[in-house]
Amino acid sequence: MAFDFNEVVAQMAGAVKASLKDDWKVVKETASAFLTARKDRLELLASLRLNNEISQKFFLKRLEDEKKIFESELHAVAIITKAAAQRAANAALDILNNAVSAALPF
Amino acid sequence: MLSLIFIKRLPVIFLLLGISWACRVTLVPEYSAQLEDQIASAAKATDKLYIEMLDLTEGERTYDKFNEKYNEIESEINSIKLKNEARPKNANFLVINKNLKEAFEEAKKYHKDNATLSNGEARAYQASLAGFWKPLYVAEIALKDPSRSNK
Repeated sequence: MAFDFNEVVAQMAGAVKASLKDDWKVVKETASAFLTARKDRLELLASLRLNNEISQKFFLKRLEDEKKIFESELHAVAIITKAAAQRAANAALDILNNAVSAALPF
Repeated sequence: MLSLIFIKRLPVIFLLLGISWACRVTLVPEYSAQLEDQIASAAKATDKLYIEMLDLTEGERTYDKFNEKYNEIESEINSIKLKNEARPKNANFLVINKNLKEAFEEAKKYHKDNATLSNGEARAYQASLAGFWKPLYVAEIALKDPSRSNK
């Protein structure tokens, strides 16, 4: 079988695009879910403080937690993005590998 | 004759297979269904700890009553951390694990030092700790390859 490099590159680009399309949706939905959860937590903490159900010191400590939660969320988004990049790169490499294997004379 | 040619080319075939296998891009750890289950059940146990506390009056909500449950959850967090430490490409997971572990230890120590928790404190810890668990769970789920069954 003949090896058409331009065709293979086009197929690789298509595979990367298809793979990233679905994963990008997941990244956006996850970031949005993190933001919604943060809003709910901050509302709860503010209401607990305003109703004097928690002390100022305890309230400030929970706000410190929010910084750490945000850091964890950024690392989770980094993992999602890396996993997407890994899938896209491997999809492209699979196409190249299959095309080369098919073009070999044995 | 044909089989002789095939045998002669075997090293080349194996070389190509090897190159193809080595050319896989690896940026994140491999998905673990067992770890996903462990994270989900430990996060659930943390939530349940505070739900049970909130069912009691403040006077009944003593640290001694919940000591064993705190220790069980803490050992689960340590176990998840150990498993993540053993995986390659684990840097992001280790930060998430560290933040969760420190937050849980602080919550446990606060309860121990103060003997009990107010309703407000229990609700605040319930919400904050859920916030620490979520990135860990979401990140593990993200490792699943949608094109595979990953059972």
